[in-house]
Amino acid sequence: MPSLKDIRRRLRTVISTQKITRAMETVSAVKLRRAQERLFAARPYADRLAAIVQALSEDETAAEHPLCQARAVHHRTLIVITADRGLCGAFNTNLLKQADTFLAEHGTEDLDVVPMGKRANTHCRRKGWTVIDRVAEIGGQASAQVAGEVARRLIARFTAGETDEVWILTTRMLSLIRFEPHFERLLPLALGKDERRTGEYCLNYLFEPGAAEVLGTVLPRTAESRLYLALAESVASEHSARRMSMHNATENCKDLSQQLTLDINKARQASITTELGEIVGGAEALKG
Amino acid sequence: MSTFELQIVTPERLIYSGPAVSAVVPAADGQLGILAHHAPLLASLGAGPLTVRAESGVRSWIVRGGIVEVHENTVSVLADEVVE
Repeated sequence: MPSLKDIRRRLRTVISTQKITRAMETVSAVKLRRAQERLFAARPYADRLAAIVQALSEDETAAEHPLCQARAVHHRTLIVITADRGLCGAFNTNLLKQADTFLAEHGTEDLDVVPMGKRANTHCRRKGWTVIDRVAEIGGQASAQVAGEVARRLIARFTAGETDEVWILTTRMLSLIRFEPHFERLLPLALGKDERRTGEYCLNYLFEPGAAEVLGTVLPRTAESRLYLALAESVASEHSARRMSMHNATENCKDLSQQLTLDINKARQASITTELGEIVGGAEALKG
Repeated sequence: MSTFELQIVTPERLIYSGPAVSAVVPAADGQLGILAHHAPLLASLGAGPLTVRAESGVRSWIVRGGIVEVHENTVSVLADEVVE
């Protein structure tokens, strides 16, 4: 049985840990809200762009654009998006496990990776994967500029024939408390047909300066926007994951400190009882 | 005066949304003026000032790169970068 002093010391550490985890929970809750607002704010652009692409895909020239051309796959590129930091439960682990599976499936020879976020970078270095591009740190929030630059470089590689398929591995947010790793093909671009909208956009646009130039503007933007959304979603999921795991940690601390308080009281009571017993015993002996 | 719906967005956020009387956008090959009931149009953007005249007054931004779309009396400016 640990002494009273030992238990008191443990209680103190538990309480200070609880203070830290509670603070982290609050901070993550605020960051989560901000990340969600950013995700929300990105929607008008993405929706509008998707509608334009939709309209263009009615036109056969869009499907024939080099960025939309599927070809025999010899070389793949995988973009892995993780957080910069840990302490967010199994968030990074789950995602990196998916990356491992992907690489095991497709072999590491004709595959290179683009890690985004500190954790992904460390993981790729440790595994010795071929890294062709990187975002060392995501920073506090998703940046459209960073995502755009990465996307543009990958588009250049794709156009040059250095890679035949580009995939994004990110964490998708299903709800505030549920998220899962998710694969999405970035290139070649899939011009998804939304059946509800068919017909609505059968109109002839005037192109300025020309159809080819406009397509050359719209399609890369679509890829950039998709990568940015994936990044923003990963950041939001990260904060959500951290808030949840810090909440659990705070709860555990609460349970633990309750148990320890109980132990302290028991130990104190035990020592008082022994002392009383000794005094009474001593008095009896003197009387005797 | 007849108006159209104008939306200015960047990948990160919505900059402006509301009715406008006219808009002058910096298209890839020169300034392009748009009034209400313009024909459907898709144009690449260059860099330059974007001037919007609404009933409440004139506002302008500097934009760089992107696309402008006109469709059913709605004008969407999807700019890569916008500065007040």
